[in-house]
Amino acid sequence: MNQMQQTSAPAIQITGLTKRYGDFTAVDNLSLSVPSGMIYGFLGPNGAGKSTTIGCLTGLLDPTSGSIELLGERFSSDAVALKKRIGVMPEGLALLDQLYADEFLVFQAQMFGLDKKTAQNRTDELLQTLGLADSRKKRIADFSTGMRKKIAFAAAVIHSPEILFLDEPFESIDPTTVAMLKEWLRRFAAEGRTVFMTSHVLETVEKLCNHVAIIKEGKLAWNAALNGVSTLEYGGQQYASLEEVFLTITGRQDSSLSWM
Amino acid sequence: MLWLLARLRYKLIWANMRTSTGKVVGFLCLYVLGALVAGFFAFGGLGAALVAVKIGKAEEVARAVMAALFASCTSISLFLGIGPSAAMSDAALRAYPLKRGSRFYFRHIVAALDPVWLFLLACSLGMAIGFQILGVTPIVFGLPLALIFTFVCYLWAAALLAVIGKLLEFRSGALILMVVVMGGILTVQLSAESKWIHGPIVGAIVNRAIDLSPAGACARAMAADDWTTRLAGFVVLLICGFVGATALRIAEVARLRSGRRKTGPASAYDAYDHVAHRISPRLAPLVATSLRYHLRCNRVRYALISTVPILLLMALTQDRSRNFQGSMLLIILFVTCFLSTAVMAVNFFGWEGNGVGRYPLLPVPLVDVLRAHVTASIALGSVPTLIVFGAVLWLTRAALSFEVVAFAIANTVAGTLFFFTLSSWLTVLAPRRVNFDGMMGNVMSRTAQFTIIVAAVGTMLLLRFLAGDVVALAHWWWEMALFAVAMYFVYQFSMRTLAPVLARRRERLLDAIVGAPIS
Repeated sequence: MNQMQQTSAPAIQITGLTKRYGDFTAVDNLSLSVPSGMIYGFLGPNGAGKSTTIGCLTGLLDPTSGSIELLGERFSSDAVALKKRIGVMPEGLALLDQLYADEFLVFQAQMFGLDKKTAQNRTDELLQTLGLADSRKKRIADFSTGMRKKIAFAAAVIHSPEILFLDEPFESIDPTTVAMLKEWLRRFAAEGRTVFMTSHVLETVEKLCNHVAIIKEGKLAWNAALNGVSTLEYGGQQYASLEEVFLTITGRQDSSLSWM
Repeated sequence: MLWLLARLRYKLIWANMRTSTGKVVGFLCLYVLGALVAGFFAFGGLGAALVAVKIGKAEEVARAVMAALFASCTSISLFLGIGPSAAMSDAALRAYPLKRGSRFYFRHIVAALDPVWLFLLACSLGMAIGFQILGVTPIVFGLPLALIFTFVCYLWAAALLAVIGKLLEFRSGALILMVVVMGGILTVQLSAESKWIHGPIVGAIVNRAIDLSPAGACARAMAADDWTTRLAGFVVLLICGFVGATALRIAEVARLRSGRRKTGPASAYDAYDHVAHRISPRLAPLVATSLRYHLRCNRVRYALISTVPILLLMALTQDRSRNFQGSMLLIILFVTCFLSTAVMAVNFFGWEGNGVGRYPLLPVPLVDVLRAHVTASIALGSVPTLIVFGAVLWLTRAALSFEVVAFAIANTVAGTLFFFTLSSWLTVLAPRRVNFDGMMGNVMSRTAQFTIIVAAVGTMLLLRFLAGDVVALAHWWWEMALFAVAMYFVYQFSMRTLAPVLARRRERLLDAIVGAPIS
């Protein structure tokens, strides 16, 4: 995990990113720098702007203002060459439901420039490893939530990207597979590649990520390194866990139900 | 519990009315209900009973009114979706503390409380009261008969819906259903124009069928001249109820074997990819995916299968010379390719649901995805087009010349490019999320509907004005060829123009199909 090969240019450089929908500002003047070889946790409560940020970083959405650089190059939704170097597991997964699992993965691999044989081999390997080999000729529409997550993950990594954007990657996946995926991500980062992920499971983020950022109402509220740190500092105070920091930033909800 | 479920059912009906599809359904229901109300006052219920007794044909009139009520209420139920609606399904009711028997009981009681059945009950009661007033049948018999009739009608409609639901669970079932429906419509349409339908045999068959239906049985039980016939009618009504209940039970518990392939060859690279590679090497993966979407969609498969028979039927049933029929098909070629896949072509992205969000992540311009879809559609549409083309050659073989063939090719190319240019714009500007597996419900925006209607009606008008002598028509081949070339440039120009438009409207497209991206 600590064998990061940091290059001079950060893997992700966000400057003044803003995304508005009419009067509503989903992301507000966000600036971040994510070095290569890092597993970066991007946290926030529901509706904070996490998925919108990932949407802007991956070409799904156009920022209202601000700039994005990926791997040292300016990124926009039509940066076709740069898109080949990133892998995305988006919110809602965006799976082509009417394809069989293997058809979808081969399609994804071919679209990212892999030849037929490599696409086929990697598809077989991924389906086998993720426990989906028996479902390869099943429509994705007929998959369970967990299986859909696995297929989306496989589609994100099949072309061996340099940056991996994962939106809630572990939700609904069985613990055995989660453990395996975490190990993959650690190795992935150890090779100098970058993972940018969102999650609501703070324990997982604390154990897996090297660095974490919390956004609230579209604005960056906190960001800090997690590597080898026993306590976390926020607002001049020390906190024992990420959960404590998160709850302090986002606000505790102490209201109780009289009948529960 | 029953009261809560009944309230939920009415809330769902109201909620459905607020969607655009619901408005169309609501409009149709109101229309049919309105027609029913008018019919009720004119012939039905109390009025019908009075008229029936006055003219001395109580049973016949009662039978006709009840048959009309039964048919109308059943068709309205098919629009609204009685019992098997999602919130009232057995699976949904499992969430409540109800036993299996109670679930069945609740489900059908609640479903039978739909307004449409209450309306049928009101009409039947009106008739029973009418017969009581005129001394034909005492109300003590009329009232239970009206109640039984309503419930039996509900059972039959519910059984029909259950069978349709089961059929829709597997692909070829949906196709069978659509073919049966279309076959039925065509048969009725053709029969209506023939003298055969007015013959005594068909009339006797129709009468017999009504006699054995709940409507005929109830009419006999309520208004026949003698009590033996009435008793027989009552027994038939009970048998109808038993048959309906049994059919419903069987349809609900039957497990049809799905036709979907669960396992298959290890390779994911198959015929689709080979064909796609031949058609467009640059866009092969996208074209292959689009071909799969086309051919796995029941509506498209149905369109591909039915386009040729319908078009041939339109031309060949004309009581004119082969030359005339050939010229009709020659003109029809203008729209054949488009009509074969139009249901998908006017809204390519809408069929992909959340999957449409995958395309902006791919390292290709979005317009390439659209090009791939159009390529796949044209490739598939070319099959029915070739069949119609062959029919043209066969029908016009006496007058076959270079001009005829040139006109046919130019006409096909021009029409295909014209309509696919139009459909590409519709896909981008008027997207709409579609349920891929559903056979019912509207899949097109109003603009797209308008385009399809213009395509169909325009072609029909052209047929009327232009069809005639093939040789005279083929003289226009040079102009048609020029039009085809012009259409080619329009298509290419459109695709170039669409590229930035599609990129700009990407978020609106996603919003329309997937939903708001904010989280």
